[in-house]
Amino acid sequence: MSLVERTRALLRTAIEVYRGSPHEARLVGIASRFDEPLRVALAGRVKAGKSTLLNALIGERLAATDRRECTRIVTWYEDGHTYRVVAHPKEGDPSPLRFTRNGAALRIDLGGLRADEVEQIMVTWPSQTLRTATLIDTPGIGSLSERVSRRAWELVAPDDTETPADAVLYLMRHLHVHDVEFLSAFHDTEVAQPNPVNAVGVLSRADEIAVGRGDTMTSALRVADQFAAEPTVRRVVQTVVPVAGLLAETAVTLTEVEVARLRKVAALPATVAESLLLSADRFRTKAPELGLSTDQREDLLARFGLFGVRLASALLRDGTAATAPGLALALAERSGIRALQGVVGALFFERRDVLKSRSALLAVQALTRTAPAPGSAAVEAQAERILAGAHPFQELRVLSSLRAGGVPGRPEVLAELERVIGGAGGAPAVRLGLDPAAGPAEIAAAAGTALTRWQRRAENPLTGREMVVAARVAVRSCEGMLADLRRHRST
Amino acid sequence: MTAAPPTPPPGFRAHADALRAAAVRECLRHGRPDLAGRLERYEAGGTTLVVLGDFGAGKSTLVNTLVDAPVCPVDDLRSTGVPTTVRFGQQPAEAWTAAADRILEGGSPADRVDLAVAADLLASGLTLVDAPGAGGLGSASGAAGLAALAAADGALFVTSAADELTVSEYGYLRRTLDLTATVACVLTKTDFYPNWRVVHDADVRGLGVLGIRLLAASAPLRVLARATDDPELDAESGYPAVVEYLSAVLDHHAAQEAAAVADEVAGVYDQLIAQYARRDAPVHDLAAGDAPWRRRLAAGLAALDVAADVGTRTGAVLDTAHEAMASGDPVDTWPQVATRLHGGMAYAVTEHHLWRRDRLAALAEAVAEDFAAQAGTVVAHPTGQVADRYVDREPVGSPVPAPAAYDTVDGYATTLREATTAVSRAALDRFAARTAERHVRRAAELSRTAALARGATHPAAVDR
Repeated sequence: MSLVERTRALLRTAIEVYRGSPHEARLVGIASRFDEPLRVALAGRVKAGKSTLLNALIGERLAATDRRECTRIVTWYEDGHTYRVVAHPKEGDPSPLRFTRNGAALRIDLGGLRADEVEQIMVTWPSQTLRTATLIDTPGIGSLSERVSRRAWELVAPDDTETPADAVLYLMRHLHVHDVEFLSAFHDTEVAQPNPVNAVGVLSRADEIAVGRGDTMTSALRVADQFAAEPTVRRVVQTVVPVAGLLAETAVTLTEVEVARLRKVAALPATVAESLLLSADRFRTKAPELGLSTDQREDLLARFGLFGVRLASALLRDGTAATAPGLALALAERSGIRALQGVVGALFFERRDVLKSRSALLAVQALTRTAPAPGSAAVEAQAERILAGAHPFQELRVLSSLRAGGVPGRPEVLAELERVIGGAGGAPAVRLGLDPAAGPAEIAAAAGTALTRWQRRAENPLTGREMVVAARVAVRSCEGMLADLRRHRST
Repeated sequence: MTAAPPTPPPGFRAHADALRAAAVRECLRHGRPDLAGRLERYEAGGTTLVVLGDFGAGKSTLVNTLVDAPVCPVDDLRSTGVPTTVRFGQQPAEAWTAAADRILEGGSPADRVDLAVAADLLASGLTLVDAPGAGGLGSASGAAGLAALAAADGALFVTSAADELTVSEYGYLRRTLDLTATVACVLTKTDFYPNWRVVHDADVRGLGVLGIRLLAASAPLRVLARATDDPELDAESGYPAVVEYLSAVLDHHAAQEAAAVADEVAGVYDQLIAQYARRDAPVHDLAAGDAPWRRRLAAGLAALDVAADVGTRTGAVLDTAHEAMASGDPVDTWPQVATRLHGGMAYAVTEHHLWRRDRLAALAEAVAEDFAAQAGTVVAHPTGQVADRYVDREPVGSPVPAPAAYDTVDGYATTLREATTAVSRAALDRFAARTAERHVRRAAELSRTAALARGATHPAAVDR
């Protein structure tokens, strides 16, 4: 029986056990959540660019990116057939809210409610992205009031308790790794046991790092790698990806009008353009021959930032992008949003069943522990058996302890271990460090070699205890890959 | 306006120099080469400003742009790790490049790096110190910046236009203001952030309360303006205003120094006059072992319990560390416990050194007053800057080493306490020895003067 089937069966049993009790509805909720899209929360400090990134991921300018009231409320964005916004007050029944959308972000009218009276806002919006993942925009951690921050942590706290989110994108701005603020962001006392299995770090506003220099994204990538290697960060997230959030948002919502305006900038001789784009102020006021009004220039700055205007006009000038869709694609690529989507795909969506099962099992355990009922002990034991025994969970556990520095070993062995157990993605080619286009024969050969190697490590009497446990899991991972290959061959 | 013209002795300095030269001539005429020598040794120290601010605010870029040369290394990945002094002088660019690895963090540890560049701005005695990032109150690098400030004349606080000044930046600024009144704020990267004016206006409001002015400055514009000799672009960069501010600080500081020279000259004249005017000075007891100034010095030093001060200051840090160790698995929490412990200790040690310096300055004033009282008008010593002359101007404290392993919190604290206490005791000893030496020498000098005066044969001097 697969992990999904075992989890579903357990949920059915649990509902039977609690039938007729006040907890039944909660379990039905857990069960239906299990079949819903993965829930991904965006967390991070105030002004880290959460709403901007959310828009970039959805491909529409939905979330308000300014600092109005709604950015202080937890807001869910889920797929649906109709456009709808519903407020869930802390007390009382959910009530639909009026909203308008004049060209840009959604403007939600709280209709007499105060921001702190609202538990959360649910935005239902037909969208391709939201079909695969429900996105949760959280208030900034740390800088607003203590209470608001707490709300954000309760939502994403990645320890072993039930959380509304299955996975977390943790946004951070370019701070120094020895910055006291930076450390406290990762070691809030609220987060007792950081768990990197379901979190990815995003170095947002990446274009800031080299202050918009041409090689700014290359620099951002190096800084992200440096962050990702930091032990403090490794404990909390699997990897760190740089994204120029504003540019990403604009790239996926680029309009023909904007491209036409950028073409005017691109039409300037390179030296004139360079001098014009030396500063935002110069772009606002210089080169009257450009044929753009002050408002139009201001709009371009607001949408692209100085780095974006520089990059986009350069791409148009040198012919890298000739059309609006071409420019959108090139900007999206360079903004880092594509790389982030790739990472999220490999680490969240490919592992969707595991993450969702984990959320469901933890939720069931939380219930059986706090509200025991006749037969609930058996349910709890079964949940524990699945969590402890199912191979995907063992992989997550080893991954977690590996990243926390709990498995001693040579760096290259640890790197291979992390890859084999799915640390960089679940696809066999990724696990074995092969080219993504590798064929079944090549994968089978590599998996066989890896299996022997990990068996030897697991059985070597000189291997440390932690490594023996980890190596056994790696052996299972290799066996799993070989079994999958055999199954495919026989069908 | 471009940079200040090379070697312009500002008005005050020239005036002070003339005053001193005249006094030297007068001393020699009256047969006192010793006094003349003392005046000649008195040398103007120049003006040192420390460039402070958070990581990545653009401190090194600001220094480089001001001196128009890539002296301080700028790197996206590695920040400035040690305070870097940039003064006027000839040094090849290779020397700067060679120093980069020592300056950027991750290089081998060094507590200070000295570099020189023949920049117009520095020619009139300005020295800039590029400090490591503040990194919030309680970080070790922030303590290093404040320690450098203790030996300087003022600070430039750098903040970027990315965001308004943060709570921790304001905290660091207040601490800076405790150490020097000469502080201005520089807003960097105004070219890159389209809405920098919003940030600027908010910062101006916040800084206004503290009485600090804000200067907006864009390095890329300045660099291009210099390369293309474009005065309009230069004005746009905001740098001329920064240079103007620095010149004003320099002038002000030169004026203060001139006042100090004038004080010294006045003291010398007093002695020349006393040489002939005073016949009977009660000076012979000044060097005695039980002179009041000696008793005050001994009592004052005895009252300075450095060990107790170190203990109190580090105790609080240690308690926090113990609490953190107790509340979580040390294996998990050690990295941030260690960082906080290191930062907290560095702060405690810096604060302790500053405390000691202030107490010694006060003691020096008191001892000088006792001495003057006993010596009578003979000494007529200007008391205005007594403290400065007696108390070390060396940077407070040396860098605090980081802790090594999580089972040694107490050991680390003990070692640090002992080292700090030892450094402080040595400083007290040095202070006592030097103060005594100065005063005894002074007493001998006075006795000689008195003896000379009794047999005076120089009527010419009485005219004065």
